[in-house]
Amino acid sequence: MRAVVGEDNALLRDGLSRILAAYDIEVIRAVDNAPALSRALLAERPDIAIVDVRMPPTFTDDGLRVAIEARAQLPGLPVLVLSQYVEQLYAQELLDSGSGGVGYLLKDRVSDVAGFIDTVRRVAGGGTVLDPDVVRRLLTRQRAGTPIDRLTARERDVLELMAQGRSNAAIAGALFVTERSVSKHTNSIFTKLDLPIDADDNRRVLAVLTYLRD
Amino acid sequence: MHRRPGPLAAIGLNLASLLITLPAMALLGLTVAGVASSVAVVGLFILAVTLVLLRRLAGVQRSLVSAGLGEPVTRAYADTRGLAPIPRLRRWITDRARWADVGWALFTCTFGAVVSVVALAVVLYPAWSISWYFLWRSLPAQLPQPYHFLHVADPTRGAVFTVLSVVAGIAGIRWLTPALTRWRLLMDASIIADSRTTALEERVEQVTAARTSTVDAAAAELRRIERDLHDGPQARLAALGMELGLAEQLALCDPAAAAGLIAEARANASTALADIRAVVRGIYPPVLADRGYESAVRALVADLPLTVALDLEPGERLEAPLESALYFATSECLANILKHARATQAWVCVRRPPGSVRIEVGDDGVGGAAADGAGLRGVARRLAAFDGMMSVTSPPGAGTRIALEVPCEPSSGRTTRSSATD
Repeated sequence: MRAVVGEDNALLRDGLSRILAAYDIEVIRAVDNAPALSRALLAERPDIAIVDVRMPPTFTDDGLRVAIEARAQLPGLPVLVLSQYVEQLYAQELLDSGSGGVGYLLKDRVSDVAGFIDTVRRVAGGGTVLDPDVVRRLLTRQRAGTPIDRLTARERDVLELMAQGRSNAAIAGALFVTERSVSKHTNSIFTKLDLPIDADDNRRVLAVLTYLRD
Repeated sequence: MHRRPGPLAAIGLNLASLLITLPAMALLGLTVAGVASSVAVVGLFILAVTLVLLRRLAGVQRSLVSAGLGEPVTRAYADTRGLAPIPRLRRWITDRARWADVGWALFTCTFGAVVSVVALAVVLYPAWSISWYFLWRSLPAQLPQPYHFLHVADPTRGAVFTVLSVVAGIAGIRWLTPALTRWRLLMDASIIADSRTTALEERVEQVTAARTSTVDAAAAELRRIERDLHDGPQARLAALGMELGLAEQLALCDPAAAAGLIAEARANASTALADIRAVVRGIYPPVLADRGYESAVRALVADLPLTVALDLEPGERLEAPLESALYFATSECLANILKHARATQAWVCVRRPPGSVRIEVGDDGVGGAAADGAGLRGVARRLAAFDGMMSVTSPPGAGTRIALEVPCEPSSGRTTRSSATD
């Protein structure tokens, strides 16, 4: 797999490159500013772009904007955005930026190296991964009296993991239950929220996210 | 609201006012000459000197007004500190307060002088009546009809008239002279002093500007802290997490590499702590919190790669916000020296006259510092919230001196911008 890394902090750039290299993901370019990132993405068409939100020149959301623009020019370009803060607004902009894998994670998550590599592979494979923080805020934003209220505690756990972009197998692993019971829960969630049941993992994630964002 | 001066004070005030009239007349003449010849350098020079002296003279009259009316009388002149001679003169010429000085000179030489003379004449009148009466009595041949217009010819009627005159004169001294004096002083004030409304308007303007500065300074400060945290400790801790995560993965298959990563992680942990300390120091230095401004400046200077001579007059601890503003202002000035001045020597001198704090930060570097550079503008903004002032003297090649002055009492009545300097 070929990756482009955009991160202005040298420590983190090296750390990311080292982790990716350790898992046989080739870092073909590691750049420290937004214009260079934009050039690298368009020239290299990597299998995955790993991008810091805040980068030079303006040190605001340069990285995010470059990623979204690159996705407009290269539809389906998988982008994993890393940041020291997660913002609902940025997550939405990413999700709205067309088809193909997107991910949005706190930088802290990288320290779970195996989990991070799994995320990189899922996003490269077209999956959608949202940071648990973003999902939690989406869930707490839900007003009382909406169908979400009718979910059991366990179903809420499953919904949360599903919104983060996990597969049934991963959810089962995280909750220490069988895959069968996870799929029972997901069916029940989709019925209660009145969503069409879909076998495709990613379409399911997007359906849940759309539901939560509305 | 305004006190009326007593008869004796009124006599003194009018005498003093008349005395001032003489130099005022001279300066008025010079002003006219200066304006007339202002196309030549000499005219500008005359004008410059005249305007300075006129302001002084008007200042004397202001203190007379203030003494007579029992009220503080002030005038805000345009602030010209730190300006070169020609821009300074230009600022003076566009300053209404300066032209009011000229107008006042005209007033005091003409109508003002007449009023003062009348006020004093009233005082002399009783003495004059008595003298006249006896003069008449002793020199009847020379003064056959002294009260000609009244057709008074015999001594008795003359005496009665004199007594009446004296009584009227004394009443005049008691009431007319003070009233005339007060009237004159009020006219002076209306020309050369700020009205209460003007003073308050001025103050409101200052406060509004200071508030904007404060808000800007606070926002910039928060932005800086956010940036410092983001680039420093947060990034360090994220890197630390990555290193530990990778070490965890490598622990079994490559223990040596894992140990190396853990050592790096430990180094990053201490650097992260150091970064946090630096950020905290940038928010509120612990020494400042513990011991106050002087100690904090000593601690600051001890860490600088530059010899800084300290002359800090000790004093009571200041209010925390002021202390912090002064500390950061000083620290910003020193940082500027390190960044730009190429100095070998610097100094910080603190004086604590009653009611204010004066700080001078200077160096022997290349000079040429501008008061509107980003760093010094930040200093001015910090001080604005406390009615503080900053002046920069920085001729190219001759070092820089930055003078900061902040009143350190509740500033309710400051209505002058530059009353102490000229």
